[in-house]
Amino acid sequence: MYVDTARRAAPRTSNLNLQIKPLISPLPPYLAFKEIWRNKGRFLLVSLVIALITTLVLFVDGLAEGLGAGNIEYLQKLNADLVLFQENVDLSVSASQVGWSNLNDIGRIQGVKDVGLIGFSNASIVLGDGQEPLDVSLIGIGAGKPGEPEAFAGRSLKGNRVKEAIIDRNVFLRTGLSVGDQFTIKTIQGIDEEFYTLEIVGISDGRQYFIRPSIFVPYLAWDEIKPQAFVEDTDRSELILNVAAVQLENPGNLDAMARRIEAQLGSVEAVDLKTAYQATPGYSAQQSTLNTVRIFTLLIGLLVIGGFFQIQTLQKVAQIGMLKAIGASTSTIAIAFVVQIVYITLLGVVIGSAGTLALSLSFPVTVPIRFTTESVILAISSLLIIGPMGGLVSLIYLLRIEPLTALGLRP
Amino acid sequence: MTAVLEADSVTKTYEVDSTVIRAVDDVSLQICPGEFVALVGPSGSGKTTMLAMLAGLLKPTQGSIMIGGRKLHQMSDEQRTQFRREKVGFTFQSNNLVPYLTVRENVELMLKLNNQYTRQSQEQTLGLLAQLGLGDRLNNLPSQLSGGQQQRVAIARALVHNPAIVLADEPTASLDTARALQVVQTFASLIHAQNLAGIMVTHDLRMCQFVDKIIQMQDGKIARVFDSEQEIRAFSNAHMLN
Repeated sequence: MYVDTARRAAPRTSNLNLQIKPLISPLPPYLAFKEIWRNKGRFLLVSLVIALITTLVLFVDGLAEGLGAGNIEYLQKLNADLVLFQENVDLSVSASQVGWSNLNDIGRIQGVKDVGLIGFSNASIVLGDGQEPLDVSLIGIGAGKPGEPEAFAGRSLKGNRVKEAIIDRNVFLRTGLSVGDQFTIKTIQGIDEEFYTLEIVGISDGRQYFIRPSIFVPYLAWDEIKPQAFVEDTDRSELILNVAAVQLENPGNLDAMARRIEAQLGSVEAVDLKTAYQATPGYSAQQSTLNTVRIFTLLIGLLVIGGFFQIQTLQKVAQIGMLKAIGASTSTIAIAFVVQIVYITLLGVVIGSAGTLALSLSFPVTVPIRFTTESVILAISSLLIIGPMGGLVSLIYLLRIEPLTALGLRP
Repeated sequence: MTAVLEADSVTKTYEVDSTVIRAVDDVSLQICPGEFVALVGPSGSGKTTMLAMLAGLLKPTQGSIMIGGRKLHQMSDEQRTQFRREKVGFTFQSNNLVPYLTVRENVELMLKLNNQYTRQSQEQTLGLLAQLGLGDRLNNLPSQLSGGQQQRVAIARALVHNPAIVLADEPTASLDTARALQVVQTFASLIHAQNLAGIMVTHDLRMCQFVDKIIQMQDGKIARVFDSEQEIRAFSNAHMLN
């Protein structure tokens, strides 16, 4: 005998007749989760594709950061507000020449706090035990002047004539050299190989330049060691370096100070750090290439997610029609769909990020991949946005499904 | 007895390539609580279109439909969705159930849609499913059930939220005769027991032995109504022999 159970199914409220309605209905997340849970294989497969895309995006991102840093890290971290180049050299560090005589002139300009000259060159560190020499950027700086990196181990340079060097973290990691060690540098002078011995007095953080780790030596040591096409006349009138690093008393006044320095000195071009490092040969081209790869990878992700959810939606037309026919609102179905995309994308991004992190730990220091908090957050945010974006077409399609389809009728 | 459903001169026309097709043509009918009605007729006779209008899925071109005192033809899309959710119980020919929800979850879905999901209503769901012989299949997915069992789950879902009317579109189309008779018999007994108004669209005239009224449609119009016990028995018996 049937008992009238359904009649009694009406909700029973409390004596106060209070019903608390949640702001967001728990039904859409429930439906989204149940469908994923009961079709784990299918959804996991899409999550894994998203994970692979995440890995690719993060690696391209890390590569862009790593290669970018390898190219411009020293200039990027320079403890200066303005960089002075010789006029009309298109901000090319290697073409620019700034003479020692400019140093005092720059220092006397009102608003300039301090100034240091910087010379850029290259050399090789001779390593024992049959190891290949390590190519490094040889950077000439003034002791205690802008341009000298802070040593996190050891101390700074003591003077401009000493045979001392500060090595950056990358030299330390790749050679094992440490504070107090003496090492030999090889350069080409004319047609001869020349060897110089320097003592390491400090280790700085990573300061690569031109895709090489860096060593920092005083002006005069640099001038002696740097490779030269011919042996220079020692009676040369003044020391020539490449650029000047200028610290200002009021760094908020960059443009006005740059114009003032240019006007007072003549034949120099003063730019901020960003302009200086973006002018590094190959940097902009390299970054734009990697950005294009990154954008295309995200686009592929967008299409993969969009394609999957479109096929999924097409397969569910009758089911969605049935849900609408029994009274599920369009918003309930739409929110369930979006929540489902967010679940799947989030899972893929988490798996991909964890995998990338694990992989990156196994890379040797020579691999130019670097992850920074900002770039990783940006990459992950982009990936989380492409999920819902990829499902947008399917969402619009889903919203248009008529409940009549449940009866096999067409609107 | 006051009718729970009143359709008055309902017409539905479509325009296809400048030709006006009258899918339902001036149909009036009334159904009282506890009455189970079969809407029969050949393909294209307008029975499914009529059902869609009674469910609020389609708006009539002309005429009016009132269910439980509410004018269905004057409601907005949102109001009709809410009306279906609260006042209509549905079973369909196919794709009846949500494939990723278990038997129990499929039935409870109606309670969740109506914010009626309470401990008490959950117990009543279990009771209803037991009544329909599905007590041991609560955690099965639809794909693990036979066609008859799936229809019984759909019946439970159609009744669990205490609707005003229950509509069934070809509920036995995919079932063998024995199972089809069993499903319709169960459906009819529950409708009678709950004093609901039920309408079943069917091609299978053998199923009419369990209804209280047979409305036969032809070319969008009501061709004939069988509402006496003798007429219904005679109609059903004639088709049972086929």
